[in-house]
Order: sequence, then structure tokens, then C-alpha cells
Amino acid sequence: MTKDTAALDVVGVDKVFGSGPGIVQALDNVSFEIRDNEFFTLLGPSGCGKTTLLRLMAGFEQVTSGNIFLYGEPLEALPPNKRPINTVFQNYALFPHLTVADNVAFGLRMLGQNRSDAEARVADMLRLVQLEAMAGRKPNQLSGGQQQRVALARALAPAPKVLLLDEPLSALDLKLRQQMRIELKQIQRETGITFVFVTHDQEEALTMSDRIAVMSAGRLQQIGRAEEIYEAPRNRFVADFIGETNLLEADVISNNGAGTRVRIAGGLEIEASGQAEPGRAHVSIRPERFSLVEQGLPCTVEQMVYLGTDTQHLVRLSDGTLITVRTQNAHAAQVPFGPGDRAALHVDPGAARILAD
Amino acid sequence: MNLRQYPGFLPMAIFCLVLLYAPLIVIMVYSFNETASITRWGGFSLVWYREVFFGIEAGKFKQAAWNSLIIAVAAATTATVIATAAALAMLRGGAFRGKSASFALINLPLMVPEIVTAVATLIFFSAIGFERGVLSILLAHIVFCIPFAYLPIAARLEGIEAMYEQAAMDLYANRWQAFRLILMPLMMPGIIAGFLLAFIISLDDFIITNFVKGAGVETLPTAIFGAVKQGIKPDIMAISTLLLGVSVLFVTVSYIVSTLGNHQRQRSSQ
Amino acid sequence: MAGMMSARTDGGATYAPQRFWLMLPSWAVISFFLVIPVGLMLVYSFLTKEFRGGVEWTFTLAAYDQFFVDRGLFGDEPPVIEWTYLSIYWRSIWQAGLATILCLLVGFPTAWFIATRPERSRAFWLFLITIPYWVNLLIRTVSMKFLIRDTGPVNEWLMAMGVLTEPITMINTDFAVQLGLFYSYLPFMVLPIYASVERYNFALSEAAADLYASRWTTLWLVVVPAVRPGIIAGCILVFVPSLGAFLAPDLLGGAKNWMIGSLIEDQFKGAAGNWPFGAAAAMVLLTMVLLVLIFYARNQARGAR
Repeated sequence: MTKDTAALDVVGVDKVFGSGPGIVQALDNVSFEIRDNEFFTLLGPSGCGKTTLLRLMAGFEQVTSGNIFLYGEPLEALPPNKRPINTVFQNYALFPHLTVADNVAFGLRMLGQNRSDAEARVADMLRLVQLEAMAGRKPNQLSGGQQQRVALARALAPAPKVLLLDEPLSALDLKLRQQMRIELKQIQRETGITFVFVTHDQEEALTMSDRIAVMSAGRLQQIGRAEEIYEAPRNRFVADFIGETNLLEADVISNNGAGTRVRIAGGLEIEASGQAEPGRAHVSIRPERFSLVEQGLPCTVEQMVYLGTDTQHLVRLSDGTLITVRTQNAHAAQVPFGPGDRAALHVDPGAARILAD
Repeated sequence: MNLRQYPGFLPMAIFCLVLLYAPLIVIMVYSFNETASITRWGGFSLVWYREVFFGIEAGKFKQAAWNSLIIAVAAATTATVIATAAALAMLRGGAFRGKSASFALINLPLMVPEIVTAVATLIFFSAIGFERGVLSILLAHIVFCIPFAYLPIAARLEGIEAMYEQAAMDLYANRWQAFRLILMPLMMPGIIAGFLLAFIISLDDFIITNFVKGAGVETLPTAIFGAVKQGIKPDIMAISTLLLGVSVLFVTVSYIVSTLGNHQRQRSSQ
Repeated sequence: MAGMMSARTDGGATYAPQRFWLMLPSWAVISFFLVIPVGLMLVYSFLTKEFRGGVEWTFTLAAYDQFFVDRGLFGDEPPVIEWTYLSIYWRSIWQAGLATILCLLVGFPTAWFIATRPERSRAFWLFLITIPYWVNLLIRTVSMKFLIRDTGPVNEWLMAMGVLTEPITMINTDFAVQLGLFYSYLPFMVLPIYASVERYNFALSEAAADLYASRWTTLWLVVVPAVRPGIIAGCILVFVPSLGAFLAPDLLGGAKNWMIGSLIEDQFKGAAGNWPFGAAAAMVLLTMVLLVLIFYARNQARGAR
């Protein structure tokens, strides 16, 4: 095994459910690599195929075509109980009739580890998730957050090569979720195990992941670091799904090597990053890259929404286009515009990005 | 106005319970009647229970009770094993050809009228020359016990999410270990309820048993029926009361088991 | 989409490779000891009877001829419809139908009442209905016989209270049979209706009331359609066993009030001893029940669409 062998290598995977008129293509020619020691996130709306992909990795479903390799070894022939991969299930799937310690010991016992070694390992794992005191309890005597930690300890105990996490935080309330994000990241660094994390929550993905794969309709849309995905979305889906954005129609004026000059609504000409053929194109501009000023592109404020840290204005250009503008409230005191006011729009240079469809 | 309450529904419910319980309570009360008269109350006494256990006909009823018990235990056990296997195939076996036919087949004993099953089974045993006795009764009982065992077992299994056995297999258990260590303990309330219901159904059966039993072989219901044909005597009321007690006990246990099971599941899913 | 995905994966197919062997015992047992016997019963209905039970393996339509056709005492008169047996079947249908209606009239309010109790007492009420459901039908019928005999407690009490001066005869009448069926199968009506009402969304009643429907209009136009599957299931669970009942007509009805069950029983266990005729009578009953069940299945399928 060389150092740069991918932890998981997904090659041209298709997954089809059902047959005849009820056929559903859950995954369509998906290929990517997950690196060793990486915190990798599969992000997408429900039904995008991310959970199916996770279940293929775990072995609960079989690929229709394509292959998945674990450190170079094909996984296809291995049933779930022969794969050195463990899963943290969405609803934890803690065995309700077993104690916390027995739950954590389960995988070790199945691997044939003797009782005393297993007990030592269970104690280590419970210490890692700070639940030493709960070893003798049954799962239904624990809070949601504690159950979550037990599920994590149980999946980590056999020291899998890859840990799969299927929306593990979705059942927790907001405060606990934020705290667990930090802990998960920390545990991943401490154990050095490759984590594959599935979520539909972009904030979760952005805060924890080394890299993110955005999925939609069974296809991989973009793969990259958090800031790449956010700052340089490749297509309309990614731009729209990650954060908020203004998707605008544009006329391509000229195209040099570095960027493209486009004319957007209201006749404003700006530089946009990315390449486009001459003609029509779509550009994305994040709301925080606009600001409302006294002089510039004229517009009318239609709505103002106070959002705590930010204030959001919905403005209409002379040609009818609606644009969302977001201003941090630290500066908002200086934005004197309210509904009905006439104002002017300013765009940060380099804010616009050309999107593939 | 409370839309959940309709005037007249409470009296109907009370009428329903009175109708269901009055005959049972009357027969229980009269089983403790001192006098041989079955219409006049002569004071509390256990004399008819003594008659049941030590009287002239005690031997006959003991033998019948023993037959009933053996048949019920054996039929319920066999039916529970068969029904558990079937429930695993139906609910954890994926889609397969003939699945709805299999479901219909399992429930067929519930759909065919008892008297028809009785006739058919009698004809079958007679045609193949099978000697009619305890074994023929047992085989007939296993058949109609299967759906009664199946229903609670399948209902329980349906409520257990597949993630548990998947988690077990994710943690290196093979299918058999996943069943033995995880799925079966979780299914246990359903299995117990299924066994108990099958047991009661077998213990209670009269019509089919009456057809397939051989001459001289009696179960408790056929013995009671035979005795009732001679007229209702107080010892019959005592036996009925005992049998009624057994039914109530089993239903209660089954009820408690399944409620505890559900309770546990609800709490664990919170 | 997400719902579809989970519906497909949630049930799980952990034991798909073993399903054949897991299914095999139930297939084998029920096929061998029920399906084949019913087939054999059909064959027997076309065989020639032998005295003292049993059959001769000679094909004949005699059993069905005896059932449906009257050729006079010596078999030489022009054939007309034989009413002896059809009237027993007609009485059975009539009795079973009446029992179904009575069970529905009492069972629906009871089920509704239980389903609208607070959670704790609801379980207790349900338990009260469940017990008779599982108590030996023979014992229940014997109890009823004891209760309504000429010298039974009901007559005694009514005379003691001065309502009656001499006992009224209830036993061995159609009334007694009807009472027996009604009482025997009442829990079979309550339980499925209860299951439907328990799932009923009471906000629907509130919506109807909000839109000016009266209490009883709401019951008829909103509640009954919503709980219809439970009502139909309950009606079938009462009608089908009532139709083939043996104990109630035998113990409460006496010799004059036969139903189908008594007729069939008489061919095998009683004096008649005509197996092919008994098999034919059972086939007619089975056909009637299958028709009811097919009607039910179609109804279900239509409701599901």
C-alpha cells in the first residue's frame, strides 16, 4: 500500500433500483477518490443518492455497475461483515436489549477478540466519548447526544479503516449539534481514521470537512474544499444549493484567457471568473458581494428583512430583475435604505462567477 | 362541543360488555354453588371442583386435559417456529415471486370456515389411511395455529427497523449471529405473544378436533361437549371456569408481554 | 423521492438468500394439510357414498343432485328444485346477516367509545373486549345455554322480579341461535373497527364541524368513510364464521333450527353418514365464503387505488 493510495476509490458506479416503469437510477456514473485520513463529506438534498452511496460502501446494497476499492482492494465480493468499514447509523441503531458496554463490545466479540482485551478496548472507547459512567446502562436510558456518542464508540471500537457516518447529527438539537461537530472533527484527527460523512446540512459540511462532494439527482456535481465549493461553484445547482446566491442571466461580451466580460441585468458590465462561449450565460453573485450605495446602478428597495447578524434587502432593478443584497449589521447602521427607497447597487470586483448549466 | 363523544355510545359499550360477560360470570358463580340444583343458590362451596378432580369422571377429564395440554404445547411450538421462519422470509427476504401467494397461503386457515377445514382434514386422513388419534389432532392444530402465531410475530418484526441487523453485520456478525444475538431478542415479545395465542387457539378448538379425533380420544372441549349433550351439570361449570381462568391468564400474559415490548421500543426510539 | 427510497431499503432484505428455506415449512404444512385436503374434499363430493361412512371410488353427481334437485320420494317424478337444503342455507345466510347487522350496531359505538378514551383506560377497555375474544367458544356457548334455559337464571330473575309469571321459552328457537351468533362474534366486530377508529384523524371531524356539519352528519359523511376498512373487515369476520357456525345452532337451536354447520356435521358425525353429500355441502359453503372474500379483496384493492 503506497502512501497515495486512495482510502476509497469509487469508479464509475451506477445504482438502479427496481425495474420496468418503476425504475429509479439512484446513482449515475459516479467516480471520485477519498484520501487516507481525510474527513470527507457527501452533501446533497434528500434523494440525491448520497445515502445509497454510503450503503454501497458499507455493503448493504450492491452496485449495478462500476467498482469501489478500499486501499486498492475491490469491495464488491465482500459482505458487510467482512469489510473493515463501520457505520454510524442515522438513528444510531443501538441494540436496545444490550448495555452500552455490550453494544461497544459487539464488533470486537464478532471479530473473535477475547473478553479481557475487548473490555479494555471498550473502556478506551467510552473514555474517548466521555461516557465511562454509562457503561452499564441500556440505550433507552441515555439522552440523544449520549446515544450518538455510544454509536460512535461502537463503530470506532474495531478500529475500522474507514468510518461511515449517515447524517449522525440530524436527530440532535441545534446546540448539541454544534458541539458534536467540533468533537467529531477532533476524534477524527485523534484516531486518524478516514471519515465519510453524509449530510444534507451545508453548514455541517462546510465546518467539518477536509473535502466535500456535492451530489444531486444521482450525480456528482462538484468536489473540493469548502471554500472552493462556496467561492467557485461549478454549476447552477452547486451555486444555488450552497449558501444563497443571485443567479443572473448575462450576455457574454468578450472572453480573454483569465476571465470573461459580461453584461448583466440593468446594463451593468462586469468581469466574471470562468469561461463561457459568446452568447448567453448564467452568472452567480453572492448577496454579500453586493452593497447598497448612493451612486451607481439605480434600484428600488422592495423588502428589508432583519436577520440578526445580517440585514437582507430585496431590490428591483429598472428592468424588473430582483436581487438579494446582504449586509453585515456591524455596517448596517450606515445603510439608511428602507422599503420603497431608491438606492444604487455596487458589485465587488471579482464577485461574479460564470456557471455551467 | 366534543366531537369525540356521541350520546348513546357509552350505553352501547356497557351493553356490549354486559352481554359478553354476563354468561361467563353467571357460570363462574354457579360453579361455586353448594347444591346440585343448577338453578337455586345453596351457598358457597368447592364441592364441584372436588368432583372434577376426584369424582367418578375425574379420570376421563384428566386424560382429556392432558391430551389438550400436550397437543396445545406441541402445536403452538411447531407453529411458532414455522411462523417465525415465514415472517423472516416475508419481511426480511426482499421481493420475490409468489410473495403475495405465500401471504395468502399463510392466512388461508383463517379464511376457510372451520367446519370446511374439519371436513377436508377428516377426508384427507381417512383417504390416506392415517390413524385418527392424538397425532392427527396435532397435525390439524399446527395448520390453523400458523396464522395465529404469524400475525403477532410479523407485526413485531415489521416494527423492527432493518438497521439493527445491518448494524450487527456492519460490526462483523454473520447472518446467523445477527439473528441469534440481535433480531431474535428484539422479536421475542412477538414470538411469545404468537406462541401464547396459538396455544390458546389450540386449547380452545372444538370443531376440527371433533372431526379428526379417533374414537375414545378426547380433548377437554370435546369431553365437555359430550358431557353437555347429557345436560349441564355443575361439574361442567367448574371445568369451564377453570378453562376460562387459563384463557384469561394467557391473554393477560400475552398482553403484558406485548405492551412491555412496545413500551421498550417506543422509549428506545425517542 | 426520499420516501420511495426509504420504502425500498427500510424493510431490508437481510435474509433474502435464505428465504426459500424459511418459507418452505409453511408452504409444505399448509399445502399438505389444508390445500390438498380441500382438493380431496372436492373429489369426494363427486364419489358414491358407502353405508356407515366412507366412499366408493365411482364418479357420480348424486351428492349435488340430492342437494339441488327433488325427484320425489322414489326418484321417478319430474325434477324440481329441492328446497330442504337450500332453505337451511337460506336460514344460515339470513341468521349470519342479521348477526352481522346487530354486531355492527353495537360494535361500532363500542369501538368508537373505547378509541376515544384516554390512553390509559383505553388499554383496559380494549383488554376487556379481548378476553371474551380468546375465551373458548364452546364454554361461552354453554354459558349462554345455561343462562337462557327455561329454568335458567334469566327466567328465574324475571319471574322473581314479577315481570313474568311463567318462564318464556328461549332455548331451541331461532332467537336463541341469533343471540348465540351475535354474542359469539361480537368481539370480532369491535376489534377491527377499533383499530380503524384509533388511526382516525379527529381533525377531520373538527374540519367538518367547522364547515357547519352536525355531529351525526359528520359521523355519516366523514367518519364512516374514513373507518370503512375496519367496518368491512369486522362485517366479514362476523359473517363468515356465523355462516358456518356449528356450536350456536347445535347447542342453542336444537333439532329444528339447523344451519349449514349442523347439516355438514350430521353427514360425518351424526346419523346421516353420507360423506359425498357432506363434502358437497361443504363445497357449497366454501364457494359462498370465497365469493364474499373475493368481494372483500376487490373492495380493498379499489380502496387502495
